[in-house]
Amino acid sequence: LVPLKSRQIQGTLDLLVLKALSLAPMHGWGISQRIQQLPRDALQIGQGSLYPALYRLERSGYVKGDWSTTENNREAKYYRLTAAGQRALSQETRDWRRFTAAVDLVLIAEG
Amino acid sequence: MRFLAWLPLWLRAVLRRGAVEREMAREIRFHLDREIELNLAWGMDPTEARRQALVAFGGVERAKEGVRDQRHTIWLEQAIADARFALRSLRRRPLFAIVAVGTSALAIGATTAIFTIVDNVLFRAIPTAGTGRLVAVWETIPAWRSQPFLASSWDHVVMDYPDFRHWRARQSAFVAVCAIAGGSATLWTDGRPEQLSLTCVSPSLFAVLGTAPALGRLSLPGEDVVGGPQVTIIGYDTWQSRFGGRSSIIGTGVLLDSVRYDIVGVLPKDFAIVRGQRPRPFYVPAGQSRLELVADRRGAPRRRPHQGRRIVPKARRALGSQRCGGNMYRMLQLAVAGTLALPLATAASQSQAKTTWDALQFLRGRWVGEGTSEVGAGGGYFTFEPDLNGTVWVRRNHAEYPAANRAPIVHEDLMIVYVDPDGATLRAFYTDTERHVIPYVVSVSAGRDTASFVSEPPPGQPTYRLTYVRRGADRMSVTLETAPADHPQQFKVVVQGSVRKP
Repeated sequence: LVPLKSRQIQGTLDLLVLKALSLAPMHGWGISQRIQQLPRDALQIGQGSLYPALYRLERSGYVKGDWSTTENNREAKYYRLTAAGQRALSQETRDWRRFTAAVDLVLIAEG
Repeated sequence: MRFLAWLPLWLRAVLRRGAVEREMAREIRFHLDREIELNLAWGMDPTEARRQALVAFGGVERAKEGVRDQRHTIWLEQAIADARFALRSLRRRPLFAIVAVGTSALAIGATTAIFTIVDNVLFRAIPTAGTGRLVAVWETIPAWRSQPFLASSWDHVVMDYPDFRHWRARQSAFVAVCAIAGGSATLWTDGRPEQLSLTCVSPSLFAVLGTAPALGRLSLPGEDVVGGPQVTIIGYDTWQSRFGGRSSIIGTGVLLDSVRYDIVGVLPKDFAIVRGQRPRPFYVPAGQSRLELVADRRGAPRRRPHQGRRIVPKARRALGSQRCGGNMYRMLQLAVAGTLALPLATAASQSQAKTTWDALQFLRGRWVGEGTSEVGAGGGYFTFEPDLNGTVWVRRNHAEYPAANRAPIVHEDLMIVYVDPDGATLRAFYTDTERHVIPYVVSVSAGRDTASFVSEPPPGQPTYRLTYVRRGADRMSVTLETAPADHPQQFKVVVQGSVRKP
């Protein structure tokens, strides 16, 4: 069995990024701040892992990144959720719920 | 779509590699600067603020490498995925044909989180004649393979009950499919709560497994619907330990999650779905919303492209391949499927039917009313015989009610009993000279001395229950009861009497 943690993180991260962007367009650092409001130990990842995830999501057409200016007049790449990303988010959320429900059932059934 | 989405990025990455590298560096620089500012605001000195920012980031070069990996491998990934899909599409139709012809007969579907125990434990454990023909049918969702967390389970996906029902209604490769799911509930006894596990099962599970009840009945026909009758079958140990092995528990209620479930049957002593695992205390009908696997959706199944089913045969050589593409229904199932060929299927269904009909033998013959009860009043009689080469049984009922000053009122009806296409349930249609047409579900007790016909009324109509109980070699008691539409379990006797063979 591959350790769950390493397989788990990437997909979870994609989902969390989509969720963070569903509220408002955001630069990478802003996304990391939002995600890390979760208990840090729950996601043992460096903030740097965010960028491969963002690129992956951008190439999938789920997010779109554009350079623009922050309120403090700095240049930052802002990502926003596309319509496809919105759909993917609801789909992934459902799949996630279904998956965790299933895992719960196994744990109950076998526990 | 996805092709169009990533192509410009990839082209840009290839053609303007330097620019992209610079953009990435700029993005990461912005990130670190913000993190350092934040750390300074927390009161760290500049060196520590920078160090902490780098620690939190977890390696700048690693992040860059991650991005480059994403960029350079996408076209390859995509091409491989496309090729796989094309191959699957090509294989799909022929394989489906093989499965449709090659599987037989009995099938048992299980919808639940059984994951890896299926092949090793479950199949060997099920004590059915059809064990060798058992296959698991799992739903596959190839799209999940690109979702790292879900990738590990893309080819054995759990389904929910509406999907199972949908698939069951349309599948023709198996004689029967059934489903089970684990769950838990709070049992209330004398005001004391107790958390225990239970199993949700589809109606024909026990019939297909060939399990005979220790007491009562094991079929749950028509009960796997939202708002269906809340009945439960209990395990033998539970019967002994909680209910003292009393036979009077049939028809009594238990409170599961504050809802009353009527006990209708007891499983035999040696019953186990998973070998070595003690049976659950309570088995309840699947598909009744509350205890459903995934309860957040109703109605038609959601369809997604490129979904299929995977059949895992007990004996892999029987089917040759594990993969069965085809329909779009999300599915995890166990099925008792055939090693080979349709003749087996036919034989199995015939033997199933024969067993079922055997149970009705005590009803066979000509019966006349006795005593003064309404059932036999005025010289009524009925016959119960096989018809149409034994594919159905027919009850012909003739009753005459004496009337003052005119000819007696004659009532005639037919009850046609047939085996449901699921192969495990007996059903009947009642029709009479007044043009009533009423569907019934028929169940016969394990001892083959009680046959019960329960009507399936349209909404708002009362339920009828007609019960024949053998009283010796040539006598039976007959009871007709009715229950109001709003309390389909509260039966009241309408008429009761006895009949005998002349």
